Amino acid sequence: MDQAIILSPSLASERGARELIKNSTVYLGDEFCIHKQPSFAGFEALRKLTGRRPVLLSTILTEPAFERWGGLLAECAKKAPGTEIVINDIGLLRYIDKKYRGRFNLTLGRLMAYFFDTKHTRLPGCSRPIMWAGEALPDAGPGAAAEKVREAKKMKDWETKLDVTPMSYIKDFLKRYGIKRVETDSREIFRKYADNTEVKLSFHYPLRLMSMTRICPFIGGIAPSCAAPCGARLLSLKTKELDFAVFSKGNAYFAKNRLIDHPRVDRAVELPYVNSPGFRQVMNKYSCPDKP
Amino acid sequence: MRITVGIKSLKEADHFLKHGADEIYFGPAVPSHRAAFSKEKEILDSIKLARSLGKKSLLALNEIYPLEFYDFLLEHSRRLTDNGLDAIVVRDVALLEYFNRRKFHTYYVSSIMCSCFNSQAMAFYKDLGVRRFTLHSQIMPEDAGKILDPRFGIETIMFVPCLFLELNMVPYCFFPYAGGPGARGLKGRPCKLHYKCGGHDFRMVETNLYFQAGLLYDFHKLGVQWLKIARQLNTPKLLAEFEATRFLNALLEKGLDRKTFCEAVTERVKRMDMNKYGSSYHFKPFAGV
Repeated sequence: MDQAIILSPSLASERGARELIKNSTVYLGDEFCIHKQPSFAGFEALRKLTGRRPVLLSTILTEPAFERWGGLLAECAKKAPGTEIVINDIGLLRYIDKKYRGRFNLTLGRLMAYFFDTKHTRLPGCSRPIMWAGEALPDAGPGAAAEKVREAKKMKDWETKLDVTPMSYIKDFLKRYGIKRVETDSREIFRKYADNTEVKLSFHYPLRLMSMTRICPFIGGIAPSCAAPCGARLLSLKTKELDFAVFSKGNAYFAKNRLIDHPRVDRAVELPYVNSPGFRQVMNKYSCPDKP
Repeated sequence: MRITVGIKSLKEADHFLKHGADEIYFGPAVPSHRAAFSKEKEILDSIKLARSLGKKSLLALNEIYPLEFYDFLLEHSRRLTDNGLDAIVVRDVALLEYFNRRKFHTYYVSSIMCSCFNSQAMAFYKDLGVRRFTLHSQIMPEDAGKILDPRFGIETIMFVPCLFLELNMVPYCFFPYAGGPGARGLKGRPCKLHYKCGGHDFRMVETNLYFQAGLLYDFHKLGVQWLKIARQLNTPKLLAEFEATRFLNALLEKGLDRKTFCEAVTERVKRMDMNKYGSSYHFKPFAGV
């Protein structure tokens, strides 16, 4: 099994990067923040440092971020064809397919896996509000109450079937775009691909995505540019209302995630972090530029 | 800007269409808890009403559906379109390709759940026949120049930022719902909770009303054509959001400078106190106006 580590450009350029990498495959970029996307200079520097090409990691891209990716792809197509790219934006997939088909090694990132499959995204067993997947409905008796129960059963039946793209479509999609690998941090999604496809599978740990945002807690809003004050910091957030610990890292919130024990895991992708106890938030720095 | 509003009954269709809405949208006639009609007949009557008033109607198919529902959804959509439905809101690429394969072409509108942040993502959906795009609520005006350039050739719609600006990006928010596994003690939404980080308080960062008013102002200037009010179970709140949207839209048309507009909106929305209506997930019926 291949071991990989995700490094943002700023972390990859730090002195201790070599020790952090060890023998791992390096993912250069970030899945959640447009300000931590790879550049060709960073790609080359990592290639020199490790002697191996890094994998390029994307997020959902705004138009300006997309234009920078356009420049990166043009350079890589010329100087490093065959580079692996983890796609997390359907526009990026279309662009590569139209302009560079066959020139890169494509991997469907965890956001794209979720894009097709939002049923298995929440905690196991968690479905829509009102109609919980595991909730037993009472037997229908006579009268108006019975009608209500029958209606509720119909709703439950309808809603528990939603939010899963048919596997036949996904298989065709992977073939159409020449995707060789799929990544996820969800056990349910992993098993679904393992049971139904031949693609290589990666599993992300030790954090599982709970949500992502552009309203960054480290910078205090949506910043047009950023010097990545978040770094590798991981904040542990506590609340009595949730039964699990929430973590804040960069532009995303996470829950803990153990590496799945499955014969089809071809690559384990680690997100490194430094615990950061005690953090005073900057509020509204970029949410209210004209009137603080 | 034109206003589209999500409805769940003929009574609501009648109210909004006669009080300034340019368009109504609604879910399919299925057994669903989501603010949806239960009978096709009532949808057909709403479409007929919209047409008689020279206004538009949309069917929202903004879920991901299993294969076994495809035929029903196709036939349902065809019947509604044959009876005057103007457009269909889509999210599911597999369903959209199925509609294309079955030669069912209509005016398609992308849902916010398509998460299109760039022109290439929009081109992906354009290839499948989408012509109007719902701008994601976390796209900023400075990111949207190319998308909103008339040469790109799409129609655009946005949620009203002062009424709908999600802290986290849909569809990538996977926190459990209140009362579900992992959140049995949860009363509201995880994004609104008060967390502790070491000795400090921590909140998922929100933007404020002034910032949100600025977004509305800038996108209006950039040429977004439609304002969208999300359908919901809570009808009194929906009515209040509709009135607020009409007010903001009228203010936009006055041609105020950005600072005056933002200050006016901030003051007005604060005074309205939308929180008093409760959650949009709580069922509160139409009380009559």
